[in-house]
Amino acid sequence: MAVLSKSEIDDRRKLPVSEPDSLVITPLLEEDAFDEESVDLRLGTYFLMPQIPPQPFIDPNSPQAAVQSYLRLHTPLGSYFVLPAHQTVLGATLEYIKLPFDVSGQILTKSSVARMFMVIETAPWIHPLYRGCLTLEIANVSNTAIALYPGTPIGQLVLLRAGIKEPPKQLSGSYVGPVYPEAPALRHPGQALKQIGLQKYRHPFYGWVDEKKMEEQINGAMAKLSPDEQQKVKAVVRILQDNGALPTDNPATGLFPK
Amino acid sequence: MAALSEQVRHDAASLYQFVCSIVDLCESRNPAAAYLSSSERFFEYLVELGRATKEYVRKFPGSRTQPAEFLDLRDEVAVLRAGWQFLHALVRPALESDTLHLPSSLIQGLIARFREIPKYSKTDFAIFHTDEFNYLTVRLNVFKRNADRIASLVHGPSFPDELGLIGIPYSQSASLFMNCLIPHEMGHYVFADAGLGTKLRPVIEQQLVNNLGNQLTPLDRIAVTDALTKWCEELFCDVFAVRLVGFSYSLAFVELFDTAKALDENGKLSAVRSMGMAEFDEYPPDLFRVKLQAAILVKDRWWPELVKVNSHYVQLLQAAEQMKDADFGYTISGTADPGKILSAFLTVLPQVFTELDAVTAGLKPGFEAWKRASTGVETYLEHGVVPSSLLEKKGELKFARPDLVGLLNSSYKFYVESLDRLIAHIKDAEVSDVGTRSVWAAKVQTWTSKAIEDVSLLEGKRSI
Repeated sequence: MAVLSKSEIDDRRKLPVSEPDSLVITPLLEEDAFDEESVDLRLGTYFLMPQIPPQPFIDPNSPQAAVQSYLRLHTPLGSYFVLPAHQTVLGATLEYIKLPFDVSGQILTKSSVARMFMVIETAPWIHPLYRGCLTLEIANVSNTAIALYPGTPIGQLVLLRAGIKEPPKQLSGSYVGPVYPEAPALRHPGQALKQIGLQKYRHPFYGWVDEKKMEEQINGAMAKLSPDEQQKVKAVVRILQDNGALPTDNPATGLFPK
Repeated sequence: MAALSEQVRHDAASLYQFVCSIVDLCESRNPAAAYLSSSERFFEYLVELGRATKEYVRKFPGSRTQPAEFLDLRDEVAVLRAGWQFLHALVRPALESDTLHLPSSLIQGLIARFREIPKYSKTDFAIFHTDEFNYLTVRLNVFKRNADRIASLVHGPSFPDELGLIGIPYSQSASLFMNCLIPHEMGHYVFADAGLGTKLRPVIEQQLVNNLGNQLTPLDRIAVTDALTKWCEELFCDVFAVRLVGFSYSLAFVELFDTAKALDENGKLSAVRSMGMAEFDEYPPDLFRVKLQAAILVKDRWWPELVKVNSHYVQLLQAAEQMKDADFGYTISGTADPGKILSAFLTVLPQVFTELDAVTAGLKPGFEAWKRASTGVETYLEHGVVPSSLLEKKGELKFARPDLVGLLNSSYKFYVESLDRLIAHIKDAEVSDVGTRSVWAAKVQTWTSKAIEDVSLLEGKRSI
């Protein structure tokens, strides 16, 4: 993987957006944003501030958990946002980026920012074809509060050739379009564990869960019922769902889609 | 019973407390929230007026000694309280309308566009939320009269001359397209500021005499003149909005009012389906409003390009444009011939266009900017990229910046005509799925909003 030089970056920027090997970085407020092998990126104006969630901890079983764990804020250009010592916030770059199909990116904390003991990325890798403003996991690891000014340079984007020969026919939807910092898209851990052969996992609230076994048991029990009885069971489950007795993170809920 | 002076002191203290509560809200608003400068201006005005009110009433009853003087003071308290109760209604909606809950970049872009009219180069609009699903403007003459009555009593600041107040539905803070209706509300500001109602009234009265002779009683004449002036105002605001932001206003209008329901399966106007949509009432009928918007789109050169857009919204515009004056009706109780009233109104309409030309003199036409930007903006949107820096020519590092009108109209056109092209690029996204379409339509709006903000930055209109 070779780092793209400024002239290579420019060559990609000169290509029409419809070409898969084109690169877009917008708005570029200064031409000297470019170093020989990197581009300065600025802090955007929107933030997701972690807040105390209604649950005792963030549990990836609950799709609502991520959304409920953040407070959305807007700090217009010219104003500032204070990040207390040892606190974190999700921000985004001011620049919207479209990466070519054969180029990956890595975002690094600007050294001047890093020397204030601030880290802007803990997941710095950007996949080819990504398009959007980059979500920044900003952490103030210093002992003092730091004022963040949207619009000021905060990171450096380094582009690397990925050695991919053919562009894919379509884009993955998850890589297209964020303009604001995004809360994590939490995925059900049971699914991921199932893929590597684990049948059981321990749920924080419901204890050990064997979804496959439960599914087989429910399906077996339902098969013994008449269609009319099945409808009645589903109606009862629906009542439980509607009244919060079977919350969305309950493993059984997925077996009875609304 | 307490002495009259004591009663007045009590009433003054009660009013003082009430004004304090509003001033405190405006002063100590949520420190985590940010507001547009126009909203800040509105809050600052309320704070200043509140301080002046407090300062004034804290001296009550002062050196007065006579019962009549105390009663006068009590009347003053009542007038001030009524005035503040009127202002009170707008405080919470304005406080809730921080930049996180408004389409801020669009609003700033629209204000900048509005200010291109030389006469309004310093005008601002404070935007607040309304519970209704409609856009509205606060009648400035009523609001200003009320605020200035307080100001004249307490020797406070008068309401800023160049500040309009517009309400948008609270649910539409993230919507770009629906908020293309805001320029209509700006039109109401212009209509009032330019005194167009006063200007048009004698013309309307004359046409009523010409068409109806003495059929109308004096009272009916006033009522009918009022109605026709109101129609003129609504139509003026429509054509003003089109002149300001092009066909994006008309598409938003058709979308908000579901006007396209008047079309049959062949995209033609259906007499049954359009029933009631061609009847003048308190407001001009939707189809007449669309017809007049089409007329200004023709006049401002948008029309030949717009009719190429493949959308049922545009079919509706075309169908309305073809309607004849005789297709519209008006029903009124009483002896006057409603047909003649309508004729009188139609003869006044050219005056509305004349007034539009007069008040928008100096405004840069939007059509050319849209023509230049359209293909580029749509291509960027199709590829999921914010269209703020459009590559001008392959092989050259030269980028064009579309302006607000170019962005809004290109983006709206893309949304009604070409969303499929964007979705086709996305793996596992089903074009026929309504939920999927909604997700990508929202993204198109977000990208366009971001582009409006980017372009404003690139042009150095906003300091970093």
